[in-house]
Amino acid sequence: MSSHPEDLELAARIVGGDEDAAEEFAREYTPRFRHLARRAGVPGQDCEDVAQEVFLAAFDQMQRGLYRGDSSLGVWLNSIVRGKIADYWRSRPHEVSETGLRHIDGDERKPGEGLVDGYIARVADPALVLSVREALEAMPTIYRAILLLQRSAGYTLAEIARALHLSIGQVSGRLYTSEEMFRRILQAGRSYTGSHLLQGIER
Amino acid sequence: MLTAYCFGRATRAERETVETHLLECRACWSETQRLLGAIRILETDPSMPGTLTPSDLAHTFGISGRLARAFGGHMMHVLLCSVIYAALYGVAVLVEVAYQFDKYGETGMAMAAVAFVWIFFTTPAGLWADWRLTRQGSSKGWAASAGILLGAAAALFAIVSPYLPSGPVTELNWQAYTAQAAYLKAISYFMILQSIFLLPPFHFVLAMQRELKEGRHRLALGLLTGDKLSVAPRGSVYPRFWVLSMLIFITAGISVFLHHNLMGNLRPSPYMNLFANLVQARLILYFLLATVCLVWYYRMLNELKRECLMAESPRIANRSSERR
Ligand SMILES: [Zn+2]
Repeated sequence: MSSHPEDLELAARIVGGDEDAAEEFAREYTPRFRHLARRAGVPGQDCEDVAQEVFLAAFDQMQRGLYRGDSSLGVWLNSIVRGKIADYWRSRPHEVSETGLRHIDGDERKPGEGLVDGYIARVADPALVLSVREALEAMPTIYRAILLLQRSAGYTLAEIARALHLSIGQVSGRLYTSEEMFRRILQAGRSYTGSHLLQGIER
Repeated sequence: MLTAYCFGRATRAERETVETHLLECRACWSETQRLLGAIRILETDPSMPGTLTPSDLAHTFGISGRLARAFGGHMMHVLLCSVIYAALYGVAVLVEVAYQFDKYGETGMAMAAVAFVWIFFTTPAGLWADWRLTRQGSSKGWAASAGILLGAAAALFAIVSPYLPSGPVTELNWQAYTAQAAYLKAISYFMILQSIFLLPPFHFVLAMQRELKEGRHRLALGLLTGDKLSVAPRGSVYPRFWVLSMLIFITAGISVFLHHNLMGNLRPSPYMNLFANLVQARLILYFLLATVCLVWYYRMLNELKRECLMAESPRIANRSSERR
């Protein structure tokens, strides 16, 4: 994972006072701020507000030349996001985050429990559904089965382990392998041509 | 790390790293969005669990998935049974010459070794034939393996008997069999043993593995749970576990009686003790083989049932709708 030059360039344009850059910055970053707020347990309906506040604060600080490139753009923006999420919880001292944790860092949900942000693909994109099906079909049966049993059918690792006469460790190892496989095949999309993608994942 | 993040199992430090990176990398951000969308589809699309067919489950997790492996995945069982079964034939040769071990001991040892080696190789050959034929869909696997085991025993008798004394060796209070006839009698007992405890359960398990592999889980479950309308696969019978268990107890009872009778009628001889020990060993091997087969069979019946239950896809669909 390396920083995208376009993002850094956009930041430079804002710092330099480019007017069009504001719109582009909003388009590019607000969804990411919203995503981070959601992952930190902010209720779905409030994520948009938190994202707007982050955007305004970040844009304002950039225009005032407060981002000087001492740290990476990501680190700098992340600190603003964390600050705004903390503000959000401070203003609602009696509410508990959806994860049951008041901590902004504590979003360790159990697998399979409303993990994915509500605002993403609330109505599933048919093309993505097709890609998911294709990715599943391309996976070796055992990995596909474990992934589906755990993610789609809602079986716990312990239940799968019991059924397969395996230890929970062995099942979770295979589950991680299948998740990695799923991601790689999905990423390769239609260009997926065979097992080379799976090399090095299978244990 | 992105995979762990999207699937919700990243550590706090990993999350921090990924989220910081997502704020500065368009490519990873778009991949994350796509992956999260895909995971959401996995978790919420009601048709997803249905893409897992019973045969997927069977092939992956069940005993039927092992049919393609050597001996249907029962290599250890075959080897263990072959060793015990071969040892029976070897010990039986020694039993017949034990009473005059000074005279026939050397030939007896050589013949016992021949018997052991011969049976040790021909028994897996018979079970191999059963596996190959059953796997290919033939219903003649059982007959083939029975033929090979019977032929192997007959050939062994033909090889060994010329070296066995033609008169009685063991000294009893009644007229003893000749060594040759006594060996033939022992072999016939071994044939009864294998034709009850070794071959039928082995063949039945293979045939059921094939049935499950072909997706006939419901029929198989009916048979295993005692549904009157279910029939065993063509070319096999379903040896009921309780029947086999009863037979072991009945045979054990008869053996103990015969053994006691034999020991009480032995005439004193310097080799009486050797004879008694060998007879004891033969008895132990006999019941060891029956027990090994029965224990194995019990485990395999459970595995067959487990696969049948697992293959019921409605259960999977129910679970996913319960969750929603
Ligand atoms: Zn990246």
